[in-house]
Amino acid sequence: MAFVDTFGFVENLKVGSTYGWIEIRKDPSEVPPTELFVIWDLRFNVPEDEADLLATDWIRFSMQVSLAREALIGRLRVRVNHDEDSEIVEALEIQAPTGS
Amino acid sequence: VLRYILSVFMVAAVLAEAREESLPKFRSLTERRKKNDLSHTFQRMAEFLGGTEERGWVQFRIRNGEEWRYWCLELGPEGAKAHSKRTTSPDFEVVTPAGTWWQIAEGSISPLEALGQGKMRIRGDVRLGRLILRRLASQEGSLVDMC
Repeated sequence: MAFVDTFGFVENLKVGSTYGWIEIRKDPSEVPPTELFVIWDLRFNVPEDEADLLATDWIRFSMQVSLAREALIGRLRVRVNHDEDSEIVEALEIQAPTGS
Repeated sequence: VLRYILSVFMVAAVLAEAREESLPKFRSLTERRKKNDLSHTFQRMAEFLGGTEERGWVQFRIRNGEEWRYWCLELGPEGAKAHSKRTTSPDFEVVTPAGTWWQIAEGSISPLEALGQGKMRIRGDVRLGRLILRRLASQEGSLVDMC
């Protein structure tokens, strides 16, 4: 398993209660130019008594969805970290514009 | 159109948890399976696909250990053609480990199931992916027809 980064802009975002689909328009040199990624709330389908143990996953899910939304609204470049075989987002960060 | 496509995948992913059996699987592409030979699964795909109104190049990037191998389907009205090569400008690309590809090609898991479980990546024009799934879907699993 090797994690890789994909860079680009959030072109579309669809969010449900347990998942978020993000379409990234990648940097111009990349072909094909778009790629789908998914954020899962890992508490989905977890027994209630175990759900508390996964509270950090809910925080991660909420944070990543918020960041993706900000990036979509602000047309900000993002870095998406994921397994090279998987479209599940491990980490998402906004790359703030440089300059004043 | 994109919102429509995204909603299709969201529905597929969520329903996978509750009704995995309803997700469309490929009809078997492995009847003439040869040991460690993936090429024939793409030949079979091309045979099953036949001619399509859409033209395009669909690339399959398959990881076998540390090695990446590439196959392409050239879609068009005159019939699909399978190529054992890499193209630099695919319209749609599937990235997955060889083990997952065998499961998909054998019809034991749905491509949508593999996607939702994080065993596959898709890039580019999703319409081509839906076209392939529609053409290669076995009788079981009707979700693609609901889209």
